[in-house]
Amino acid sequence: MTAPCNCIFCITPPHMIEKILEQGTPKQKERALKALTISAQFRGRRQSLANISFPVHRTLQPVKHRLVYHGEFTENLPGNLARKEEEDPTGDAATDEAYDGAGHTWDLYYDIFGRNSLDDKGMHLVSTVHYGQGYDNAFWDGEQMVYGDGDEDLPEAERLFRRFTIAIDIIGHELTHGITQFEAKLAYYGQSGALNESFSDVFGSLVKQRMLNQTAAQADWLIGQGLFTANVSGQAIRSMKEPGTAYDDPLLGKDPQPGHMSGYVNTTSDNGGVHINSGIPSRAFYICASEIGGYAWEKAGKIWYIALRDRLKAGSDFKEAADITFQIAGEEYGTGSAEQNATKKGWADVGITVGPV
Amino acid sequence: MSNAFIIRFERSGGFTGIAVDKTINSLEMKQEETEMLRMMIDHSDFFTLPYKEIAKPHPDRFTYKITVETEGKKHTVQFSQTSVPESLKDLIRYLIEKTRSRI
Repeated sequence: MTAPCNCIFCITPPHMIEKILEQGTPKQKERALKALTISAQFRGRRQSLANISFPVHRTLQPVKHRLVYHGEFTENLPGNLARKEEEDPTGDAATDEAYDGAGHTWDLYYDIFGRNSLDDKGMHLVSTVHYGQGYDNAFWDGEQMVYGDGDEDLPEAERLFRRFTIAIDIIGHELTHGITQFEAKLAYYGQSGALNESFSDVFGSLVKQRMLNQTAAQADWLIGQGLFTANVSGQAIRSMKEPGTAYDDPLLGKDPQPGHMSGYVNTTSDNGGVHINSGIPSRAFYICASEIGGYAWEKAGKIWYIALRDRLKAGSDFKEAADITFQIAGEEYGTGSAEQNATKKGWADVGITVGPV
Repeated sequence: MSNAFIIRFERSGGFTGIAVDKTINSLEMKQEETEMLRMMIDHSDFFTLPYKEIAKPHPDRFTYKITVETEGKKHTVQFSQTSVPESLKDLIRYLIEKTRSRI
């Protein structure tokens, strides 16, 4: 992809582009706007377009911009480009799963919440698959998603993990870390870190539920189902519905997640147990969504999205998240509404009371 | 470093949050492997490394904690995946592979 003025490689400062936007011909204005947008997308990070005013009406319809790279089993990023937007499937499962999963995640955020990619400005969705050797992990590195192949390099009888693109909620989970980075910036430690993790599980699960057209009642509320091989005694990595029940394996141990504040784990490991204590707010969401009924992304998802986008802050804890979501539910659906009561119940059932203590 | 040693390797974090905690004892290993590990530990100047160097935590990254005990001394280091010193990478790669859970 090349920008009209090749802004990536030449040095066209924003103030010059702004002048063009103010005084140029209609065609010049259109090209300047497109160049700015493409530059921001290609760099894969948020451009400070908010500081530049756009006197022209933006007519560009938001579209997905996906790039999937092959890591060549090294830890060099991004790797070699394997598939870009609108190209046909490659036949490589990890590549095509990363592509499709990013697409479904983009669709949820745009179709339901009106959000144009992770930065809400059309940022490219960059993924690297086949990262490392025997890498049993996936992560968001601040600019892109990275997926390992799990144990797919071992004989089948020895494998515990499959490739990390195999479950769409993992893809939605990682992309949501990107959104959190641009919005609430929840600090990745302690309760704020557990919220960070929980929001990623919430929206990862919503991506999966929407793809399967499942209501809250129909959903399994499992995270990472399909990641374990048949050699593992477990159905998924986490359960939002029943934290602590996802797996119990002689090698991997037992799912350590609590589903109530009475089981909160105080630890220094895992950045203060962010993947452990996330079970508490995740169950609160599950209860809220189940109480409301219907599709979970429509109301409960909306409440949680507004919280993430507008209200939560880096140091927010569970109590603050409870109060914020309760308030938003009242604003969106009315004080004392079924939706607000469901939100209150969700948090109450995990041991957190909304409002003054 | 010439005597027997014990290495404890702990890994936390990652998308799954499933922890790894394995201990390796040189007395239970073949000499060839023991020699290779000794070289890695020496090469990394392990006992001079700072205790903790954790970069700002990134979501779903691993954190590694290594404790080496030998010749009457014991030292622990802890790094996030993004802050592992170059000199320690071979040792960490080896320990990850060695302690990979297998059926």
